[in-house]
Amino acid sequence: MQLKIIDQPGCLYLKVQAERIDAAAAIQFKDLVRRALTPSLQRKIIDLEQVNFIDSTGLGALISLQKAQQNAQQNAPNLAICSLHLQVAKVFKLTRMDEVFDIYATAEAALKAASASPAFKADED
Amino acid sequence: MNIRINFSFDQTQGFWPVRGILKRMAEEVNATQGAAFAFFPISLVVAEILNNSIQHGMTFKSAGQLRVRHLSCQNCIEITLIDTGCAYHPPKTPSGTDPLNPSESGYGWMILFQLCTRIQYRHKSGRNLLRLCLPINAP
Repeated sequence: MQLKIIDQPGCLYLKVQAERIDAAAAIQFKDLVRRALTPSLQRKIIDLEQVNFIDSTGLGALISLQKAQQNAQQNAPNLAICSLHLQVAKVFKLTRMDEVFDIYATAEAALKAASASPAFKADED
Repeated sequence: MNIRINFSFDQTQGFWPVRGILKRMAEEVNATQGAAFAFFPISLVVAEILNNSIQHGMTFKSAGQLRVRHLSCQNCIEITLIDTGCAYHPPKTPSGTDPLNPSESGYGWMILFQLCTRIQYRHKSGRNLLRLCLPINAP
């Protein structure tokens, strides 16, 4: 598993380069993303376009990452997650994860929303 | 469809058999049902019950059998997992998620309760037997 990382003003974009976030990969996923995330009000986007399978351990890893962000930085925004595969989106819906994270259909939509966020505007000033 | 897959688990070697079992199951489902068969809900349920058995029930070395069969009379897929691990205690009711304060665990059983219409468990003669019924039209 690898991460493609693009750090831009107001927004940190992470693209997961793996097909599965399951019990065999969840710890590695969490470690990789945790190392990439820094405590800030910067909007964080995780792109799951390449992921076609996620199980409960993968969901737990995402929740853990979001909690770590919010514990490290007061008022940190929810993680934004984009480009969900149809099957992955079903798992999010079954477990109500679609209410926990900010979900976007595409990376473009997530980046556009991030550019409108207060953190982006603060970085520009 | 009537699939039986035997597996073993050796924690001392860091062997995590779930992906291998899912791959074997996918090959057998493709062979019997065709590639167009909606395999995803079955693979998700099987992944969750195997993860649960391995994480909570199985001792360092353990063995088991997964059975997947189509019950046409009930229009469902019956999934049975038998293993020689320690007894575990499935919840009787699904746990909920509070989107404002989500837990980091418990989603496996939540998924199983959402997808399956019947979940039966018993531990007898040193073996766990977990049986679930997954409707053909599961989401």
